[in-house]
Amino acid sequence: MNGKFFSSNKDQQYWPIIRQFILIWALLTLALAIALWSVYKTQEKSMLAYIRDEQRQTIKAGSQFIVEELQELHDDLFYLRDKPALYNWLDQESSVNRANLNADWVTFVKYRKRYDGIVFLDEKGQERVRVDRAQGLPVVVPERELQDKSQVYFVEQTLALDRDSVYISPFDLAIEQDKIEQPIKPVIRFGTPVFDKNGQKRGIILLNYWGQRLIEQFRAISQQSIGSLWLLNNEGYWLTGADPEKEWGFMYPDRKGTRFADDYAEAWASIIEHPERQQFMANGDLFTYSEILPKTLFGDILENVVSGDERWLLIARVPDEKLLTQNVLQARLLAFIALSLLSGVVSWFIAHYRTRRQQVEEEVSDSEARFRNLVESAPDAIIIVNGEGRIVLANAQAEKWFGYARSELLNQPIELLVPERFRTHHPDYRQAYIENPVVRAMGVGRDLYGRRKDGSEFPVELNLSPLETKKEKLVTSIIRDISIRKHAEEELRASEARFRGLLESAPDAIVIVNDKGCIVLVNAQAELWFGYSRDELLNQPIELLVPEQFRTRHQDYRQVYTENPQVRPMGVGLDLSGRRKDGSEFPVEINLSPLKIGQDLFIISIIRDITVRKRAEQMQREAQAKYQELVNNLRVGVYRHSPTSTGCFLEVNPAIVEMFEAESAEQLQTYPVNDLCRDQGCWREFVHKVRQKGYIDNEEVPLVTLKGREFFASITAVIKKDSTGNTYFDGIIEDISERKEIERRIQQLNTALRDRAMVLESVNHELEAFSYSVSHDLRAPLRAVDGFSRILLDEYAGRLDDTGRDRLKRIRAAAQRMALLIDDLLKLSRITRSELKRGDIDLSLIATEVIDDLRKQEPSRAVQCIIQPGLIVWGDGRLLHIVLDNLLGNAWKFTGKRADARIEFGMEMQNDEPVYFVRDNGAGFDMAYAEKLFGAFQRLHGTEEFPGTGIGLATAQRIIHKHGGRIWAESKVEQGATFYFTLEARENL
Amino acid sequence: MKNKVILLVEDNPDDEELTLHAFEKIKINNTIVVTRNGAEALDYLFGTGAYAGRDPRDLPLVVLLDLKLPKIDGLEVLRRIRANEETQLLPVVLLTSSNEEEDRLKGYMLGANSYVRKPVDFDEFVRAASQLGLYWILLNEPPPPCPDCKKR
Repeated sequence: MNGKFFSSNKDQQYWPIIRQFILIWALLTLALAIALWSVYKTQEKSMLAYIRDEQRQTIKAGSQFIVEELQELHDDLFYLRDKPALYNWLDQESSVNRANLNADWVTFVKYRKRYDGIVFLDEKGQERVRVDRAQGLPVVVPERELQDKSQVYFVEQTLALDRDSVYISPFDLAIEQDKIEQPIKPVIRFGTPVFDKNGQKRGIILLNYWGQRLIEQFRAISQQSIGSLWLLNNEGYWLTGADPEKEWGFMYPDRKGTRFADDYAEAWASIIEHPERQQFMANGDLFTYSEILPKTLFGDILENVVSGDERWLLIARVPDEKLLTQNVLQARLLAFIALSLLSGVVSWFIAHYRTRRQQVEEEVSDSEARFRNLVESAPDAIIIVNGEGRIVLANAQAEKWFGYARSELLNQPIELLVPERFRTHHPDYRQAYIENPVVRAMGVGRDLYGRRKDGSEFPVELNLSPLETKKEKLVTSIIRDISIRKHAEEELRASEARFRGLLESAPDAIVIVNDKGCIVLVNAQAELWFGYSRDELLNQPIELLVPEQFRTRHQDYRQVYTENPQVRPMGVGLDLSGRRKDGSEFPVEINLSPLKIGQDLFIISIIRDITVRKRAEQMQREAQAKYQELVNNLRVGVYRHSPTSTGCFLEVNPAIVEMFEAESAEQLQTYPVNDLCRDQGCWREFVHKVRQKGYIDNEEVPLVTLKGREFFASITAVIKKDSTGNTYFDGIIEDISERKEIERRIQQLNTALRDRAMVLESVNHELEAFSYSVSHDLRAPLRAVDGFSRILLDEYAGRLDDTGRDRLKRIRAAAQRMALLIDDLLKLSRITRSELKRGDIDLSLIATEVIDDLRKQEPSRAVQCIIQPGLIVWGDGRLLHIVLDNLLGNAWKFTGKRADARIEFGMEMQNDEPVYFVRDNGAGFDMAYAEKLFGAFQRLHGTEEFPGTGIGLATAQRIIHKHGGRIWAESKVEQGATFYFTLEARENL
Repeated sequence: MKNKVILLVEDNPDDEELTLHAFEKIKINNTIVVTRNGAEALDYLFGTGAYAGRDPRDLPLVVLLDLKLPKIDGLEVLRRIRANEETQLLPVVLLTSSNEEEDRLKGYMLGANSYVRKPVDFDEFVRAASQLGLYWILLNEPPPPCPDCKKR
């Protein structure tokens, strides 16, 4: 690896150094930059603080100067006012006094350089005495040159003042004859009124302050400052400034726009808005400012001072270029570059040596790692022991196998890993080896064991080799765990046992033969099935187990198989049999597979007794035949159909073949069922329905046979799925043409019946109407006949003979009988029409009531009545009452001529049927006329003999018939009569 | 009370004659007004048609009403009598040849006070008429005027 490293190109070699260098240099440069920057920042801060302070000092100096300069003026003004010379002159304006005054003032101006002149103006504003300064010397202005200044603002202002008050004019330029004096003459005028001895205001005295003096002094202060110091009036006009052109702007109409605010708007705004901020930054410039209030110049007499200017502003400005210490910065930058270059060189050397040292270290540790890796990854345990037998190295495999951690092994005697029983002798062997160290296997011919930490042992193989270093002699032992190999040998033995177990417990007979056809192995099942013991079979030819008739052929087959051995079933398609020891045979299935062990070929045959299966197959075949026969004998068609609408029958029974008039099932199965529809597409519709529902019951479908005969079929189908998942229909088809025909006929009959019922209903309606008419209309004429006959008998009896009267009586009787007949007839028809309202009726009770009624009507008669109690029937109580009315009424009537009259009502069983009867011992009748008995208006006796209309029994018969019963009578003349009737039992309804 | 009218509604002149004769026989002196059909009977009762101007508040003592009548039949006449405020309480006796149960049932359901079948036998007829007269003219008290009944 080393060789490879150095043979690569130089760039690669230096690259780590460059990388190191860049890192170190970058760090150094960064540190340097931070240090220089912080120094610079500190310096800048202290410089700014210094400038701020200096500015404040400058402002203070300027302000102090102005105040001190102007303070004096008050006293000078009052000195001049109070001088006797002025008073004397005012007292007497003589030329002497005037000369004195002038001389006084000249002297004053001469020595007081700060004044520019003194003027006295009278109360009208007329200059009266005036001393000016011309070319530095005081000059008395001649009287003729004195002017009227009454219109001048400061004169007006001063004249208005009271005694001891002072007027300070605005700081402006002197104006002479309405023009600004040239060269300009800055001036501040101080004035005060003058009173004479009498207290009379006589005028004012004005003292002109020479402004130039103040301005020059001020400029001198400014020049000593770092920045510029300016004086501004209240409106912000420059009184002194950077540019003379911009000064006194308020005096010149063309300079109105030259104010401080115009150049430094931000700073002006700050002054106006924050007068308390004496110092501030604006646009990068440093401004310091202060104000002077002229009113306060003279101390605490503010009320006596009137000032033209409210205030004067002192502003000092340090421009930003003076604040930024550019030069300093540049110097710093140069120093930085120089230092960083220097640090670059230093970095290079550091990087170079560091990198080289690293490389050397890496190479050493690399080679060590490779060695260690080799040892660690070895599949064997490696342990190095020194001359004292102590372990100096153990690899991972050694740790793993012996179960010790490396730290537990190092510096321990090697005997730790030797089983205790060998420990005593081991140091001697070791000593012997040290004396004669060669590479050799240890303990040749003996089983060696290692001892694990937990005390267990494992078989090992051991190789020893000497290792001589500068310091000492070491022995390397390479140890191999051979427990896996040992384990594998045992595994093999176990596997063999398992195989034998498997063989013996197999459900099939297993026979292995060699290539000569001799049996070399059989299992227990083979012994059992063939009836031989194992010893009888081994080394015998396999043909022993083959039925005799196949033995010869079997040898040939075996020969062929031996030439081309492969896994396959034997005798495909043939019924194979095995032969038992007793000579009996049994069906078998045999599978062959070759087994090659070395050069020897064996054939494994697995033999299965299939007797049971064969029997089951036979039974299944028989069962199938039975069901097939059943289906074939069925009179209904049974089919299987493919699940498509265009498909054919898959299977049909003979009944379907016959139904479709086909020659054979095969012929029918070639026809798509759709073609056998009478209405096109009927089958498609049917198949669709089955698919939707899964089944269909008795769907009626018109079909045609192959010969074109139409018939109605009732088809049932259900979807089925076979084991492979294919669907099909199973179902039955029945020819229902006959049934349909019968149904059609029944319907015809029903229709006819319905028609007839309607006719009957209308007839009934007519009958009802007729009955109503009969009841009402037929009776009215009868009443007239009877009524008028009666009136005739009553009122005209005298005019009629007996015959006439008798005829009238007959007319009346006939009419009354007719009325009776009509009533009975109506009753009969009403019964015919009325519907039955059935319930449980006690006939015995009704009979008793009827008899009671009859007794009441004829209390004189003695009749023996026997009524069987508790005869309950199922019928219409009202109608049955009428029946018993009639029957018992008849019995009562026809026994009327007997003294021992007897009437019996009861029930007897005839042919298991209850038969009710009414029996009497009355007149009776001739059975020859029994038929006529129940006809309407039929009578067997004369009216004279027994009264009656002949309707009663007809009515009774009709009621009994309505109850589904029968009525009949038995009698002999003069021997009484018995009337029998039956009623439909409840269960029959 | 004796001067009160009996209204007989009967289309058959024979029956009318016989009825009047029967009343005469048992000496009933009340005026008997005979109307020949249902419409006429209603005109009489409500003071309309031929009887316009008759005071309908002057009600008969009893109405003897035959069922089978031309134009408007007896049951309909009864229904209208009961539907009218003035006549709703008027005693009405159905006097008829019919013995149909249906007629009887309808008659009573419509509010008939009595149902009498005219017998064919004149003696019985006279008996029935006399009982009717006795009962309705002499025994029975007619309903009093009932102003509250008007809004029923």
